Amino acid sequence: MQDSILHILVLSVILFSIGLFGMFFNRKTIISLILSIEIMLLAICLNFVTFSYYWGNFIGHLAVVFILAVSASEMALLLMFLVLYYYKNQSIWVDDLHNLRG
Amino acid sequence: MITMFYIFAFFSVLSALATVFLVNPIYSVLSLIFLFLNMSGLFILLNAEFLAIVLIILYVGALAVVFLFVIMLINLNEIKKNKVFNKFTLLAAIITAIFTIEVVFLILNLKDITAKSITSVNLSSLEEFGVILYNDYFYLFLVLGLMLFIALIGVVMVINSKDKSSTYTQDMAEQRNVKPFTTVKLVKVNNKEGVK
Repeated sequence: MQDSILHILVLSVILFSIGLFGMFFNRKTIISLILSIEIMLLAICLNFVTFSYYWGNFIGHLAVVFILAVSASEMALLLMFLVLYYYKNQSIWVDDLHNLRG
Repeated sequence: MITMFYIFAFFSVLSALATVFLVNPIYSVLSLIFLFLNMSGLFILLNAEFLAIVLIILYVGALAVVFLFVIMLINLNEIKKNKVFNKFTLLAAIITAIFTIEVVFLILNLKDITAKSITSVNLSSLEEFGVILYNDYFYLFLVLGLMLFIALIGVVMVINSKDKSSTYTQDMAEQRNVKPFTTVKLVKVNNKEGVK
């Protein structure tokens, strides 16, 4: 496993890029954007755990715990806004978000 | 060990692609759950068993179910009619390919990282992790709990402070309690004065 740290880093970059591609490409619904954000956060968590394994300390694990808590609260807020927006406008398309006007 | 890593890596990339490309959001969330399971397998390979269990409990157990509930609240019939590829696909592919090639090139040029690592602590030990979390990073941990609490309060307040006039609801009890003498009033109107 020691030699495959580079492989894990490349895997995390690939996952992050898939999430980034989803952010740009999914101009469909807001749910797709949220799922893409989840994929990107997961790739970053993998990166932290990899370097924690490499250096042999717990700092990466701590960072992952903090990332998980932050992403959980962020997801709660995003889903709340999604539900409110859907009840108000009956639409979850990203293109309809232009109607928000600040 | 390395075989397991490649199996988990292959399936995680596959399920991430499925999450992005599938049109139906329910299938996207299910493939995201599969991605989380594979990622917790990778965490176990990296001696982070606690984080793997936290990932399964927190994401697969809680957050994915919340996603499915939110998707249930939303009309899925118009989403299914959406086509997968649109005019932004090529632009997104170009931007993402540039980013990926840059960072992979950067990673493969790192020479120092293949050196012998410094393993001083037992990463599987939950006790040492707890000692570090509750001693060295105590205030950060408190701020984390405060942040979750603020998010909870914010969600509840925004939901409750919703503008009532913008939603059209039907109050059954109030409708049944309507009597003629509460809504219609008989007024004696004088000539050329109107109703005051």
